[in-house]
Parts: sequence; C-alpha cells; structure tokens
Amino acid sequence: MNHGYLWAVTKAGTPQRINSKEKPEANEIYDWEDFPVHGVGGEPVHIIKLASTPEVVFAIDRGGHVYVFSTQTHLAIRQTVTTYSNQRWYPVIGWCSHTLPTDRPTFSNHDGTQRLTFESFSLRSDGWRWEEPWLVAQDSRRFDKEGWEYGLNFGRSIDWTSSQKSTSFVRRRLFKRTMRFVAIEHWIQMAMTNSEHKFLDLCAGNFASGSEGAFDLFALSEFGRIYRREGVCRNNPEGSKWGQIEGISSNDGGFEDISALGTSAAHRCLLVLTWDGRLYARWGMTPERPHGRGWMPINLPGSQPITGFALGYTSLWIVSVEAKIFTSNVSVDHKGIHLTQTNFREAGEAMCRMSCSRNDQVFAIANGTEVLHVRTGVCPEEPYGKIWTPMVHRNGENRMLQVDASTVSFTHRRIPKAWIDENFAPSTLDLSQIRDAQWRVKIISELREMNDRCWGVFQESIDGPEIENFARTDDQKWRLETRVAAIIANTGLLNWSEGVFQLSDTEIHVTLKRGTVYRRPLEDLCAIYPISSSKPAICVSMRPLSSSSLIRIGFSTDDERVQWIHELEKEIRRCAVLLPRDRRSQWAFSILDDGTPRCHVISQMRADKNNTQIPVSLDSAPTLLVPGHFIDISAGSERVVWAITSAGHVYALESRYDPLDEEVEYTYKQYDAQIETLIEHQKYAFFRGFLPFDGCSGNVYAWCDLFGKQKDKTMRLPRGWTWSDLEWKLKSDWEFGVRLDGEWGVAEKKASARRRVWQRERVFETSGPWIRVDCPPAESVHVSRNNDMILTWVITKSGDVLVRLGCCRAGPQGQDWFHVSSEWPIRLLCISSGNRVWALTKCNRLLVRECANAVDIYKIDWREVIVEEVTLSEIIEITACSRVLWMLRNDGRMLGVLAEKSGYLLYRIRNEIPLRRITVDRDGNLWAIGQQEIYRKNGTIREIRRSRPLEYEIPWEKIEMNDISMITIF
Amino acid sequence: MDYEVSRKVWDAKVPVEITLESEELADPVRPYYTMLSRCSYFTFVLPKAVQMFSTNCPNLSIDLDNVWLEYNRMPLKTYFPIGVLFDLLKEDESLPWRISLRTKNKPEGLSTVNRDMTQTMFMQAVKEADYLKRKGDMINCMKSDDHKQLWSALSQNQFDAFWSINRKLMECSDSRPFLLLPIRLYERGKSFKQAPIQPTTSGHPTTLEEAIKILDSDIDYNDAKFICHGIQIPLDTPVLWMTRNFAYPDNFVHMCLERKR
Repeated sequence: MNHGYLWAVTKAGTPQRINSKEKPEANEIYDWEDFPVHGVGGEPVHIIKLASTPEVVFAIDRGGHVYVFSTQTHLAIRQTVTTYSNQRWYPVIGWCSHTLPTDRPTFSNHDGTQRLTFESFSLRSDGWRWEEPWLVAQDSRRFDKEGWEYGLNFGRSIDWTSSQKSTSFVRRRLFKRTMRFVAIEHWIQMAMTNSEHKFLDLCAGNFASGSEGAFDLFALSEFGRIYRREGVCRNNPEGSKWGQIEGISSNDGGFEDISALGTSAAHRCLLVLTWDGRLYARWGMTPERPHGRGWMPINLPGSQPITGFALGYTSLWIVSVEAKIFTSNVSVDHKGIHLTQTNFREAGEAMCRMSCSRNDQVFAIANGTEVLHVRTGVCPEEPYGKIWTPMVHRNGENRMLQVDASTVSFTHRRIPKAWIDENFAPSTLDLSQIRDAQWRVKIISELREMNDRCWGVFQESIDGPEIENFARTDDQKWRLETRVAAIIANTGLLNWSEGVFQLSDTEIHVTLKRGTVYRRPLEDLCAIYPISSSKPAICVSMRPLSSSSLIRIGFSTDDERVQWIHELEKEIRRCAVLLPRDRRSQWAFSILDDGTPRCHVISQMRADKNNTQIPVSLDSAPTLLVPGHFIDISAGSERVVWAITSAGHVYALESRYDPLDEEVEYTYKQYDAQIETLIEHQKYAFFRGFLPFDGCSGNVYAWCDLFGKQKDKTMRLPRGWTWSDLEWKLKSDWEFGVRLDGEWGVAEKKASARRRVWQRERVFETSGPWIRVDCPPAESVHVSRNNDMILTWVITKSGDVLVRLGCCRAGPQGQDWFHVSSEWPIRLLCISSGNRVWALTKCNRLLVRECANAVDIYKIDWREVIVEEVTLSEIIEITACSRVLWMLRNDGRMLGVLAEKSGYLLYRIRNEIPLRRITVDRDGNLWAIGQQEIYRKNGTIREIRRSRPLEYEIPWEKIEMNDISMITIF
Repeated sequence: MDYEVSRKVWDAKVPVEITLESEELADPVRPYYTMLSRCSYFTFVLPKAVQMFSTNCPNLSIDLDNVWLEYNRMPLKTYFPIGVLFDLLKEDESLPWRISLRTKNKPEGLSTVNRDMTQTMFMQAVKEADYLKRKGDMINCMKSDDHKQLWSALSQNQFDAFWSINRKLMECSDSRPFLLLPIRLYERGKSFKQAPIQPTTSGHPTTLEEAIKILDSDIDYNDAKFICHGIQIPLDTPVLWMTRNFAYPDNFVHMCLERKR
C-alpha cells in the first residue's frame, strides 16, 4: 500500500506529499496533497523542517516544537500498561488492600519495587487514547476465577499459585489497560518534558535497521546540541525521550557551532554541517552504540565551505557556497563515511536544500524560483544523472522551503509521469475524479468528526469513575466553560495540551483531551495571574496540598483571559471573606516578573488539625492582582505601601484599599513608561561576510532582549501598554566581537560576530488605588517599620536620599520631603530597625546611621563602616535585621555582616541556590527569591567554619511561588 | 477502493455502556464501558462483558447462552451489525449508548444468536449481495478458506486480512460491471426494504436520491434524513461508490431512514 511519499514543506510552512508509486492505481491519489499542522487552539502552525520515515513523519515549527504524523498503517498501534493490586490476609478481617508497611504498596509493579496506582498512568501525548477501562487479566493457568494469584508472603521470590491454600497470606491480581495511537494521518505535538528540547533541525534515516519500525531520528536543539530520539519502535512512533550526542570539539576548547544535520535512509549514520560550512561524519555507530563514538571531518572539493548536503545509498551530494552541486561515490559503515573516489564531480548549479532517496534519486530546490527539481537519469552507471527537471505542481504554491525524499521508492529512469509531465492525465475511474466531490469531502469530514466525538465520550465515561476525591456530578452547572490549552505541572509536560476549562459554583475542572481530569474545589484557589506566552495565558495556583498545585491555561483571545481572571478572582475573594482575618497579622505585596503588583492576604486565618486558627502560609494565602506596573515596592507599618515605576514615578497605596473588597473601585491614574531594547546579532561566515541567522547560536539568540531572552520586533504588548514610538529605532552602530558569547568591542578584522541595539518606547496607563507622590525620578523605596513615626526613604536616580515625613494610616502619601545629605551618591539602602539605617554608595562605601531615638534618625549624619574581605562593588542588594546586615552579591551568593566589639565581621553564607533578591519581614525573618521560587529562613543559622573566613549556612524552606521579581512582607 | 473512506468506516466505533440488570443483585455493579466497532456484532463482545461482571460479582452465575441485550425496554436483534442497530434504534443524541444486559426472562420469539449463528447469517448476506452484483460468480469461485477468513478477520478486527478477500467481491470495471446493488433501507418499527437498483440510471451513475425513490417512493425528502455509519449521506452520492466503499462487511449498504419530527 505505502510505496513511500515525497514530502515537502511549502514556503508558507505547510507540509505536502505526493505518492511515489511509479504508476498510481486507479483509486490512488497521484497529486500533491496538503497536510497542514494546527496548534492546540486550531491556529495554523508554520513548519520549517520535516523528516519522513516509512510510517511516521516528524516536523518542527518556528518555536522548535516537534510534531508527529503517523501515515496510514495496516496494523493498529497499541500499548498495554499493567499494574498489580496487592492484598494481605488478616485474621478476623480477611483479605484487605491495606498491606503492611513493610509489604508492597496496594498497587505496585510485578516485583513490588515501584508504587503504581491507576492515576500514575497517563497517556503519552495527545495522539493516544485509552481503548478500555482497567480490566483484570484473565488466565486460568495463572489466576483463579476472580483473577487472583496467591502466595505465602511478599518477598523477593514468591511462588504464586492460582488457588488459595492455608498458607496463602498474600494475593495479587493483574490489571491491564491498553492505549491506542489514534493520530493517524494527522499531526499531533510531541510531548515535551524539557524546555531545552526545542529544535532548529531534524533528520531521520536508517529505515532498514532490522528491528521492526525502528529508525534513527536526530535533532539539533536551539542551543546547538545534537539529540537522538530513543525508544522509537512500531508501537511507539513518537519514541520516549531524547538522548544527547556529544558535540564536535573545536580548537578553542568549546564545541563547533552546528547549523544542519543529515543522515541517509539506507544507512546508520549522521552527518553535521558546521556553521562555517565544514562537514563532519559520526563514526562508531552500531546497533549497540547508536550514538557512535567520535567525529571525523569529510574532505570537500577544493576545501571550500558548503551550504548543504544529502546522502543516499552510495552517493553524497553537496552544495557549495557558490550554489554549485558536486557529487561523489561514498561507502558507509560503522567506521564512518568514506569517499570511494578522490574527486567530486560537478552536477549542475543554482540548486540548494537537497534530499536523496535510499535509491540515490536526488531532489533539490532551485535558488531564486524555489521550485522543486528532480535529477533525471541518476543510475548506478551514471551516478551524476543528466539534468535537473522541474516538478509539476498542479495546484497552489510551488515555492518550497524543503524537500524530503527519504522514503521515495522508485529507482532510476522510473520517475512517476505525474511528477514531471504537465499533461499527464489520470484514467477515467481515477479516484482523483471524485476525490474533491462535495459529497465525498462531506462524508469524510463527518466520519472524522463523529469518531472524535465518540472517543471523547468514551474517555469521559472511563475516566470519570476513577476520580474518587470528589463525587462525580453529571449535572454540574458550568458558569463558565472555555476550550483552552493547558499545562498541568505534575504531568511533567511542558507543552500545551488541548482541553476544556470549566468553572462551577463549587469547583474548577480542567479536562485534557488526552484524558487527564484535574478538579479542585474553589476554596483551594490561591492566585490567578497573567503569564507571558505564545498565547494569552494565565497561571492558576492552588493551595499546595499536592504537587499538582500549579496549572497554566492558554486562551484563544485576550478578552477570554480577562474574563476568566475576573471570575476566578471573584471566587478567591468570596472564599476569603468567609474566613476570619487577624488585623494585627502580617501582610505582603509582591511584583510579578512583568511588573504587575499583587497583594497576599496573609492575615487570613485557617483552622489547623487541632481546630486552632492559625495564619496561612504565604503560598496558600489568597493573592489578588492590584492594577498597576512597578519595579519596586515596600510595605511598612500602618499599612503604608509605596511603589516606584520603571520611569521613576513614586506612588503610595490608598489606605482604604482592601484587596478583598471588589465593590470599591479606585480611579487614580497610574502611568509608566519603558524603553524596550532589542539586540540583533550576526555571525561571520567565510566568503560570505556577516550574515543573520535563525534562532540561536551557542547560547545567544539572533534577536534578544538585554537579558538574553529571545524576543523580536513583532512582540505583542501586554494589556494596558501601547507603543509611544511609532517604530523601532536603531540606537547603535555595529559592535564587533570575537565570539557571540565572548568579548565585545574588538576591531572588525578580528571579529566573527557583530551586534547592534534597537529601541522603542512603550507607555502604560491604568486606573487603580495608587496615589501619585511628587518626587524627583526615583530608583528604590523603603518604608520604615517603626510605629512611632513612619518614614519613607527614597533613593533618587541621581543617588540622593529623600525622606518623606508624616506618612500615616490616614495619609499614606505623607506631607513633606526631607533631603538627607550625603558626601557621596547612594546606590542601595536598607532600614534595619527604627534607629539604624544602612546605605551603600555608588563609590562602594558602606555607611550607617544610628541613634538612640528613632525620631531623629533622618537628622543625624552617615558614618562609614569598614568591612574587610568584601568587594562592595559586587553587592547588588542589602537588607538587615536588628543584628545582621545581609548582602547579596551579583553571583547570587549572600554575605552577612555582624557588629562585634572588635568591629564588623564578615560571614560567608554557603548556599547552593543562587538568589535574585533578599528581604526581611518586620520580625527580622529572612526571605529570598531564587531563580524560580521563594525561600524563607526556617530555623537557626548553622555555623560551618569557625576560623576565617567564617562560614554559615542558612536553613531555607522552599515555597512554591513562581514568576515573582520582588516581594515585601510586613 | 477508496482506502481513506473504507478505513474510516472500518475504524468507526461507538461508545457503549453495558449495565448488568439482575433482580438477584443487591447493589448496582459498575457498568462495562467499551468502544465497539460499528461493523462488528454484539456476539463478539458479550463474552468479555459477562466475564467482567462475573469477576466483579462472584456470587452471581451468568449463563452466556441465556443473556440478552435490551435498549429502551426493547430487545436487541444482535444478528444485525452494531452500527445498524445504533443508527436505527438510538433515540437521542446522548452518548454513550446505554444498554442493559439481562440474564433471565428472555422474551419469547427472541432466539439466542450465538457466534456460529451470526457467522452463518453473515455469510448468507455476503452470498446474497454477490448474487445481486454478479449472479454469485465471485462468491462461488472463492474457496471456503476465503469465506472463513472474511469472518475471522472481522472478528479479530484485521482490516488488511478482511480486505484482501473482500477486494475480490468489490472488484468492478467497465468490462465487468455490477448488475444490481445490494442496498437496504431501514426504518424504526418497520421491516427493511430492498429493491433492484442499477449502478447507472439513464447513462449517469445512480445517485442516492434516485435509489431511495426506487426503495420507497413515498418519502418526503424535506422530512427525512438518510443515515449510514452514523452520518447523514448527501443525496447526490453515487450508490455504486457506496456499495464499494460504504457497505458493511456483509457487503450490504444498510441505510437508516430517520424522519424529522
């Protein structure tokens, strides 16, 4: 049936294929057919590269995600998973699923070493469906009528019997469930479990390797790493994981930059093209060592760099930088790829992006017109062939991005007529006569739709009864129901899965098409916040009862997102106001990575096990978004909260503001402005000069922001923001560097990379509870935690320190500014208690002011403190409790400074986790923000080294809260 | 052969919930959920369901030969393909299809249809269809092993094995055309209709609309839907194409007429 197809990707990013049968039968389609890829929300996906194998085709989109397409096969693709249910016999009670602590768990694998509950099994990807519910395995030789087999005791080796004896104290039965791959002839996204598995290139080959359905799939990640897909076989067309292959060591001690991969349909091999046009082959690849052992260079004609290559059975084709085509005979074995002739022979020109079939038939795309060509007359006697002949495209786009001939089956001189003969006419009974008839199109789409609906219903029926935490109520009234894309943290998958998000009066449900149902009562909702993603998305965080406390939901429109945030926050408020609050208790504000402030209601009380009311922890406190955009925020006594925008404006929070009260709407205007900066990189190639590149090279993206995060000019602005500049402005000339990730500012002659900066200003406007305070442009703010007199300290952009007097509950914005003079401009500041304030100057001197009466603190002078063994220029943040001054270094490590009689002593803090921010709450407890999560000091600091340099360790407690850039806890 | 369509027809399944109904049961038993091929027969699934129920309630003895199925208080005639029963009898849109499995008090006149009898009736239909298509030429020159393979491939859900034989029965060319087309029209509460339908009508391929006129001249087309394999078939679909690609494995096209209310 399947004679192989010639696959191609059109200029618009749509995969296409054409049957490669030499003479298509009357009922077969002989023309190009489109197989577009769609995203989770149904949006078209732009494919940049595909790799075909006889039964499965893989493709990558612009974002580097992998898609899988299974061609029509004659055998169903199935996998069965199993688990054992174990029981023990107790006197009086009889058989019971509660096994002893030393026994196997109630559900386990065959030898009891692994706990395996029904819920621990999930479908591999969106391509799979459960075919049946869990069933007890029946086998009268092994099991009794109810499926049990009996043993004396759970141990390493048990003799199981099929009937119960007087010595049978344990028994087990085998449960089985089969999943079936249903994504036949349509694309699904491959499950992604590691964010580094985003790819720029991929290739597949070695189809005749012996084991059924196995092949090699290689991929090049955006960080330039090479991977091979492991576990690929007939019953697992997607494979199970990516295994990394070492890179090619370069002369400078690093690895060569790789721009493309290739392999052959006929051999176990791997070829890579370096960025500057050299070709390497992997050697030592055997069935036992599919990753091979080393790299060998391949000598190219005239030692010229090349831009493309293709390998067939005995021929290697290459494209030179001048777009000339060369070919040579090669032999391939486990020692690598060897040229059997010394010379390459020229075979045409103006072609690129070649592909070779297992019979050495070769295809290429013409430079300029981008029309697909086939080399005619390629045969063993004439391996160079005759001429490049354009292929016929009867309908639609004929400009191609890529061609893949891996599975093309015809041999020389038998190119299907339909491919190259424009006048080729099908026979009268041909299927193509009726293929596009309206009635047939309708029948096919309705058959597909009906089948999808039936499988969907079946998933629900068999998944439903397994969720035992909540009674399944079929008559749930959904107040809100939306088709979404979702990522549920505990599934380990990082890519979006299709699903439905539902809200009722009592709970939320996320039902993935793959069959996972996630449901939690509304009381467990903690926080909802927008996240930046390829689609309008939110993060929903739940009370951390289990690992599955975080879900990400992607919507198709921003309006949907706004509506859901509104509705879900309403539920958080509704649940929160029912519970008591302790007015004297702590409270906290944080700023998300995107600058949105949030209020954490940690004054909320909750009953513990003994029914005593205790304050909730930060991660389970109701958390609500506050309208606004800030870079710094500080909360002090009497609910005085101040914040600073990126433009340096200073705002104070309206004191009547209550995050739990939805009724009162504040309409103070808040503004912000930000310069968006993009850096454009280019690389140097021999003979071709500086060139732009796609995606990323090494660890540097072609287009990125100041922090190296991938961004480009087409970025969408978040809600509330508009561009104030009409277009991007070039801010610098090219700057040259030795390497992309190396030193910049070298002479152009020595450079192999260059970069320049683009900028564009954007502005923000919202209505909210923030009152503008007139002030010179400010950088940071610190509200004192002294109840007698609340002072708000502001550092301006020029390094001056201003103190706001008269802040109080009734008027959090205060009355007057007092300029605290200093000999040097100030960079960092912190308040350790009412009567001590620390500061670090721009010239890196450490200053302190202390006085007996806190009321006078702003009137006295700074005093310089000398601490030895510390490079103060490396310090990026300071914070202090009554005894210790904590400093955070730019490498994420902490130092402590303690006042002793002999002077100030420096302590090193051993910590494995690099930190981004540090802060203390009003009781002097230390908090920190790591790369992802938040940490809280829990317990006493341990001494590790008594002699100098003194070293301590802080016992951190991890709090699962993500995406936070700044936090202040009072 | 239109592979795409034939494959989809073969793969089409319906979700079914089978509930055990027995007076001897104190508590309700968890139903048996399954996806059943529209092209297959209930005799294939009954042993599995009975086995599951026996495992879950060991006190109850279920005699496979005496069980019968019921939908909406109506006994199911299990010698029809599952898809035909579904399209004909299912009264609402809700899924899964909820069927009761009863162990006692089989209604009079509902004979037990076991596997062997279903097979006999299936082969009978295949033969009848071939007599219509070409006076039984093809089925008579096939070996009895081929006949067995048709049935075993169907029972084991092997598409390729089935079509390697069925292909011969569906072969049709300009030189060896089909004479008449095996099509039946069903309506709830009535017996099915069958009439001689030719592949071409005045030189053009006969359409479904023309064929329906021959089968039942009284139908008001504004008031009727024609369902086959769960979907509404466009009236301009050629019936020859339907015979070759839309027939059930017994080689008949079973159309269900559904009148709008």
